[in-house]
Amino acid sequence: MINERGVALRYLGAQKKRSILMIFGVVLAIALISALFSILNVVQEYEVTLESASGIWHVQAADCTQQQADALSHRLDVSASGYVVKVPAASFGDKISFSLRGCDEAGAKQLNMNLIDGEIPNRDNEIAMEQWAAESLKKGARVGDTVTLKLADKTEKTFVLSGIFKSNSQNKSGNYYLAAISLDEGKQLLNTDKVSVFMQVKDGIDIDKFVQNIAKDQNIDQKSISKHTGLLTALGRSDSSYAKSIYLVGGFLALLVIFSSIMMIYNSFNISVTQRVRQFGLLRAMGATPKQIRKIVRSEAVFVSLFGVLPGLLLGVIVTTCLILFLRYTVPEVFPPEGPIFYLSWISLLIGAVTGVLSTIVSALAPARKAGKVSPVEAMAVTSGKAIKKKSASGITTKIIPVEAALALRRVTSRKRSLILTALSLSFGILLILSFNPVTSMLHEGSSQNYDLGDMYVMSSGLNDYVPDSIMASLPKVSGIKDVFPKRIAAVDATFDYSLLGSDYKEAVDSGYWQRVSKNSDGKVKAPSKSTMIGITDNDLLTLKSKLVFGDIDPQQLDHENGVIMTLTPQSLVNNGDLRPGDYIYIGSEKLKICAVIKKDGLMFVGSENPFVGFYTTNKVFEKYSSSKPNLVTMTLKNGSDSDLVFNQVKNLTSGIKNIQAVNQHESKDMADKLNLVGNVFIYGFIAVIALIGILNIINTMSTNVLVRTREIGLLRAGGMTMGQVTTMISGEAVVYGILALIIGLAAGIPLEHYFYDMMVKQIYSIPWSLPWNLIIVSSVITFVAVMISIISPLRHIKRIMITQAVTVD
Amino acid sequence: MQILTTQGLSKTFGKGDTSVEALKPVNISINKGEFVAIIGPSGSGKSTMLHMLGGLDYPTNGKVVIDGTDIFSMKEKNLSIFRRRKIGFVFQAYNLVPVLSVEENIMLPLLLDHAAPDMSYINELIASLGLNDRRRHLPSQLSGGQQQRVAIGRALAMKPSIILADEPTGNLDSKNSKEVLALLHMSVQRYNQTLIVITHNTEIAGNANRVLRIEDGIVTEIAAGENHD
Repeated sequence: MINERGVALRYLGAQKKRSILMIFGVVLAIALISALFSILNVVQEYEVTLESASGIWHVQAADCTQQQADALSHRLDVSASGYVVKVPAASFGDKISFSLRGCDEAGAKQLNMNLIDGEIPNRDNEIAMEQWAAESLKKGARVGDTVTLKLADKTEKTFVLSGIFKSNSQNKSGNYYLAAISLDEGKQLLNTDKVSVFMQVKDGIDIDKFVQNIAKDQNIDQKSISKHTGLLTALGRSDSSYAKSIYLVGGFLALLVIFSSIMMIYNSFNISVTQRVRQFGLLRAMGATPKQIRKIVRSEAVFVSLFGVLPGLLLGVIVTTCLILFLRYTVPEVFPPEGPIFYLSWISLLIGAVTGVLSTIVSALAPARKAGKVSPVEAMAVTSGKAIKKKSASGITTKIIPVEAALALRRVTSRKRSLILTALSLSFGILLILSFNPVTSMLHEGSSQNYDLGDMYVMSSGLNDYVPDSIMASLPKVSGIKDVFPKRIAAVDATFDYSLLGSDYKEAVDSGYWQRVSKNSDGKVKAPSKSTMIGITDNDLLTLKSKLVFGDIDPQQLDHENGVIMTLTPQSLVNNGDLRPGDYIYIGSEKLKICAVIKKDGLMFVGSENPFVGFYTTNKVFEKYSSSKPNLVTMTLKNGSDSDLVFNQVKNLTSGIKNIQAVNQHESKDMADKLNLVGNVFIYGFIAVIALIGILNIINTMSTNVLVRTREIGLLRAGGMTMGQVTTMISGEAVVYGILALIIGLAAGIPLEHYFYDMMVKQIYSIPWSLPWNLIIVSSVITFVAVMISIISPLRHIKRIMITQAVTVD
Repeated sequence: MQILTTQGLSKTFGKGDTSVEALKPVNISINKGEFVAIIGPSGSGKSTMLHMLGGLDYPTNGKVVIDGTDIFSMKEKNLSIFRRRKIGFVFQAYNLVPVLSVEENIMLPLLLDHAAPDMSYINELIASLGLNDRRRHLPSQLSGGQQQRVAIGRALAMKPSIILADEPTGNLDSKNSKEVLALLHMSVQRYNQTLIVITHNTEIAGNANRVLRIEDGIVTEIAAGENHD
């Protein structure tokens, strides 16, 4: 005997195409949500890895006596601990400074010193260090080699390399040399018996309470106790919980997915119920109760969701795995290649499954209620389905536009709910493309800041020093170096007309964010600090074109007009974001014309920690105001060159020269680019899936619209409508959905994009907002493609159906 | 003058053992201005024949020539245009486009042709159908009889060579059936229309100039006024 569930299954089977589309929508939603939370889990683990680079300890108690240290180590609420003493820095040559830690093996573990070879020092005159640090002292450094360091008391001491531990990319990119000596030697050098105890607190123990307890129990001054806040936050064990904010972001994104899929599934069920009104009428005429009818529709939703769960979860695992492989390939420094290939986060899968099923069932509730309200009389109706509510038509449309287009417009607008749902669903993707744009812009601007200092640079320690001519001559000859850009940086007294302080400045002052600056007697701004002026070669000037915001960069014009290229630099006192080409800055009584404005530039902070304004100019103009010789040389590498090898050559050139340092930027620049790429892939991948759900919705709507009107279309064809005219009519309907989606998406998306842009990009980088034409075009193209895809199946259906099948009365 | 002729027109559905010869070869000719009724039991092949006469379905064999044109020698697009201009259809139900008004439904063939309508003729047509005060109304606001009147109006809009009606009174009560019949009659006489009607209605058959009977796919002509049961 068949029951409501059995009937529901039959209905789903009878409408295979629509059922498959709905199930696919559910699959996408479940896959996306479970992948989202899995990746957020991975991100959290990444944050933990990042924070663990400086140690895996949770709480540190400094200056503990042996008794106190022993008591702390043996506490029941401490899962692991180690002893460390911080020894004053030692130097190698006159360039490299080592941060020394005296520690035992447990202490080294707490400091995340993961041995590759050898052992942690446990005897005097032994030292262990990161692999990259050892290699920078001596290429191919091995356990057993010796290294002589100058200690803080100026004495020299030779150590035997007892161990090499894994390189920490953060230390490497920051040129931070960390080494370990034995705990006893450390205590000797400090002439103390006291140690710092680094502890890991067991799960479930409140960290703040733990700190209070150990202070009280061991009589330790709380000021001597510190927390590893970054790690604790990443682990979710801190009040300012990063983990909580990650999951809030995840929750918000999941809501977007749920909203998108609810629109799609609700629309689908709504159309399906409308199409089957006569059948529901028949069931009611045969004696089915409204409750039974509602149960049929709800059962369909349950089946759709259940059919979608397993494929959805499987797809989610596949997507997560692919994303993790992508992360491992792109950023192996953070996501090492070791570890399982498949990543399974059970909680993420559960969240995906539950939200997918629930949102599908919720989507069907209103259509189920509608189906339950169908009266038995509908079974007898000659014309099935809801009658058009409108009573009359003025006939203007058919006079103005061809009848095919008029039919398309009238058809679509006669089903307002379906029109709005379909258009909204499609517009959602457009909204997300626009509103996430500021995030990708922010990532891009952040990563491009690293390009200001090239792949590596050589710099004098003060602005009055300079890079010797011998180095200047040798650097271009270093194998692997592509370009060398000498720069002259000077701190100057610059100002501009007070009247040029713009609306942003006034707003910031009024809001109390910035202090007001005063006016000089000559009507110019009283500059609170020096400004940075940088003189560079003409070729170097031309590379600034990639950062151009206003005006144009022409070295000859700069020479001719005493011109400068202003940088947008949000300041604590003054926002010069309103200065534009054609305005002037003054050094003394000398006028310099702003010929162009470029994005925020990190070099402006080299001349002054808080420059009033910052600008570039040609060397010819620079020489009028400063006699500085090149004090910074930035370099770019040839593709494929080994940055470590090249940097070693550069370092050799600068070794022995006082007041000159060489810095390798390549890795941090590379890392910033990779993180930018990762961010873009994740963001646009997410948006692509949401857009796909919207596209599925319009495909479903168009397919069903045509299916419902097979007889009407057959009639039109019988009456002489050619297939070309039918195609125009069907395409017209899809175009109406597309146009409405575009209008809604752009009308909501552009203001939102503007708001987020001002918050994320303008506020940090001072780059003014402009209408995102490229995104508007991309959105339009995507909408058009979606519209075209949506009519393929309906047109195929119409071509297959013979006119006689369509017009014959049952 | 012959307006429609068929030569060996036949239709077989299916293939091999499951094939069914719905219509055996038939040769008929119909003159302009004739009112022809087609009768026969259910499943006899009446609609099959009518659909082929109107170019809605392709025959297995044979030809249909309307107004000197072999309609099945044309490509699909040209056949659609031919149907639009030369043939008017009235079906039993679901005749009208629900989103177009009465006036627009009647003018539909002209609108599909992107032709400027002869409004004086259209107005005359609407008036003669008794639909003047319903011009702007949508089909959902009309009764069954009114909807069929609109369908007749649409069939006449292009002044076609021939009107084909498949059970035009099948869904109507007797009063509306009489009205529809009267209108069909009027169109034949006033506009010298050629009319072919499939019907179970004896009154309609009785008013026809000629009656064709189809039974088991075989077409025979019976005299008007003969027993049609």
